[in-house]
Amino acid sequence: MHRRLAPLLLLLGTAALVAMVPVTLVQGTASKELPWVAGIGIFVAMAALVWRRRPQRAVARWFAVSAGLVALVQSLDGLVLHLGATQPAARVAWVVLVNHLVMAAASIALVHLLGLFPDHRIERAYERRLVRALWWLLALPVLAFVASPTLVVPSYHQSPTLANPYQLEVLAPLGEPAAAALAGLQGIFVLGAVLLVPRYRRGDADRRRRIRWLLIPALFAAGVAVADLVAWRLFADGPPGPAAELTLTVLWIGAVASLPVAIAIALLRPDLLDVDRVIRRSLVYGVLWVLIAAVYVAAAAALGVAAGQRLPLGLAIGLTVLATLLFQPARRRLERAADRWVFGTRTDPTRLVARLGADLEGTVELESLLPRMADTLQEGLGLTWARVRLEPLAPPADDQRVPALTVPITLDGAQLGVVECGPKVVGELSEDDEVVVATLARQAALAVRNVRLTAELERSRARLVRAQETERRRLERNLHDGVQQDLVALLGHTARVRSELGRDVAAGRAALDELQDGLTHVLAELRDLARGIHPSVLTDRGLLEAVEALAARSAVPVTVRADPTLRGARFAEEIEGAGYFTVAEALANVGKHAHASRIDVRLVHTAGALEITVRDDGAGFDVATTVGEGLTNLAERLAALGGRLNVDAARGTGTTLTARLRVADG
Amino acid sequence: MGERLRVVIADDHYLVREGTRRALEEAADLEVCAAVGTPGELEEAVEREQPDAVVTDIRMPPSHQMEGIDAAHRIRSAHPRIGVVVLSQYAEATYALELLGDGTAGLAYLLKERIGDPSQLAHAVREVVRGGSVVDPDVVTLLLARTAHQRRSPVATLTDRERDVLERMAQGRTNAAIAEQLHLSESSIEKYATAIFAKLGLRDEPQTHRRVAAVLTYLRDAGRATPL
Repeated sequence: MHRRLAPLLLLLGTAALVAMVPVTLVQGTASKELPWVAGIGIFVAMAALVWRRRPQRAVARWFAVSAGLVALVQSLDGLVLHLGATQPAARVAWVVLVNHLVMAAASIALVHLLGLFPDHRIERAYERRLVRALWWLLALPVLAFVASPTLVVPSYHQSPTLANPYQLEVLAPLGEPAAAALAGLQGIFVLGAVLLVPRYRRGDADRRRRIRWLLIPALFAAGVAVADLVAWRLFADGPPGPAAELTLTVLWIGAVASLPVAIAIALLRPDLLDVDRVIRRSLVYGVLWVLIAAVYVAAAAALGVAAGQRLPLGLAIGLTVLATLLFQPARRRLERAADRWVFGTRTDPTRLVARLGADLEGTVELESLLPRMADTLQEGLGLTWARVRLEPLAPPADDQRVPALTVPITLDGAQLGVVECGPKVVGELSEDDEVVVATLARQAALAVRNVRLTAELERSRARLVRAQETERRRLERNLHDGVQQDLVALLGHTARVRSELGRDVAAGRAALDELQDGLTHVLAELRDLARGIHPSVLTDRGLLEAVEALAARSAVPVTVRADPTLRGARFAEEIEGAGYFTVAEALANVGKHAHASRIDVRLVHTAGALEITVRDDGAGFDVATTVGEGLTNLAERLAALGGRLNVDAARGTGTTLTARLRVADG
Repeated sequence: MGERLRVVIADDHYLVREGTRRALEEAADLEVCAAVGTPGELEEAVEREQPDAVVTDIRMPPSHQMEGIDAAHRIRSAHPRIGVVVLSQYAEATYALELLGDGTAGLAYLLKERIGDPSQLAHAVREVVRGGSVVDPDVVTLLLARTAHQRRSPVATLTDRERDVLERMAQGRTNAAIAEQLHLSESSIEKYATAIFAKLGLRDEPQTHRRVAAVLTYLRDAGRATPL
């Protein structure tokens, strides 16, 4: 059934009921009709309430459809009576047909409603077949239309009998039974009650409790029926007096109206007796809602009454219906205000998400973020509990609650975790709620990624600082233990030269030669050290020539291949530095570990990117277990520049190291 | 003995400057007529003194990059008579090629530590004054290594002896000098040279400095990254 149909019928029914007010006032039948209008008004109100709380449930839709149709039948009854007195039969017959069709549909919808009660689904195949077959009963009004000798009008009114102008002679024998069946059609809702019997016997305690709610209107109706009988017996010589008649009418209306109330209670509040905060709130809400609905109907009716006193009846009806429709947005706004007032930001996803967003601003740790998200969700949707868990998903040992709704937290196709919602404190999770949870899950994914990125950034910064520290220590060691020690030794050596020269000139010369060799050695060492810190060729001539110079020094033969455009091309200092040290680190690693016979270095410059590949034919290594600090630092250095390092290696197949850097072209 | 060769020294580091002066003055045929600390002062001194040779640091104020090489090129083009020796702390082929890439006559690229070997320094000065070229042996070694690393490099096909000869040719040695160093006859050096040039696909050059230029150009091009 189309989702829009239910609210549409509700609205139509309301408009029809409200239009009854001026009509009955003008016709002077108000005292008789209006109590029934009020009773059916309660039916419509209950259906609307359930619809509002459980718009996704089939049972709510059928409740709304039944209520709308019953309200339409009520007003069509009035219309038939009115027309029957004033219009030719040929015209009335059509209205009667529509009236009967709506009445049949209303009865069938009621069976549907009871068939779905209380668990929102039809359980057995035979039930479904039966309920579907009922729709064939819509043929009955049509049959009566063409076969019945008289127009079948509502039986409880004393109205003139009109001959049916559309009766077909051929079907005359079917006329009487058809009319009788039609009169009894309203009784089929008893079938719905029958369907409940096996369901009650199958059901658990909770379901039985909910079905028992329906006993109240049943017993009520039985009691009123008995009272009615007794009253007629008491006044055997004629109808009971007006006071008694009014009492009976009110009782009957109460009996009829108690059914939708019982259904609504059973559907919405199976745990009505567990009085807690939220339920008290929802009672407040319910009262508010009824008030708003009453004001709405009253306003529309008042307008209709005012119009009915001055304008022709048709125009008054039109005006009333129009007013009902026009006041609808105002009513909706009032309801929303009441909703906010009672439940805060309950089902407003944007508000809930905004609240979470505010939470996220101040949170940088997952440990506090996840519980806050869960809290927001729990409060926002009125859940008994909510839980947000990240991979790995093993549930905590002390928490084996089964969620009513589980929504995965995914980002770029990878599942990061789940949002789990327990049942709601009142009622059940609607599709709207699910949308809210899904939205929150998306936010959660982004938040989790943010938190993780922040953490990663902090770790990375710490690593960079550490790497810098390590590097400084290495330099300090090289200077102190290398160059400085050498110079100290050479200083000692000069003293020796001086004393040698005093004794033996030849020995002195030899010592001087040694001194010179020593100094040359220190110089070479110092040069290497300086180059290791930052090569001058890189500063003066750019990346490619620096890489070529590096290659020339490698103990393992290195072939450098490069885009010709790279010769003389200059990039930002940090890019050139990162590129250079990528090759330097790779060559050093190959020299130390790989036992390679060849190294290939490739430098490719494409639009906006510089790709440096160093491939050797050496021993390779296991990437999973052995990635040295040097490579880690290199990866950090590249990542800090928006670049990426890829190490492709396996034992025995050599190593390929690829660095990609973003560069500004031009 | 004729006129002494007049030399201008440029180095922003005082101790190095003085060390260079002493090393040069050890040679009886050399005379240091000016010692300055910046490229500007160097040019003034050159104009004023009209020396036979200049010995300059590669790296000087203001930017401490390759001012020495620029100065060498300027002096050579303004005064083709003046030889220039560039002293460098970088044992890098790149800088030598930068200096010698557009013509080697009257130019030398030496590492700074050569001031500890006055005879080598004096030799370089005399060579550039004669219009010859000198390339530091360490730099030549690097150049050769770089070239030999490339795949299918003809340098890799040279015999050890041929390599020795090529190295010395690149350093700017004459056949006679190479023959003396390697204890071989000059004619066998000529044969080696012919073989080397054939393997490298080069035309032999009669003049030493042209030969240096040819060898360096070859090594530069062959040692560069292969285009993709």
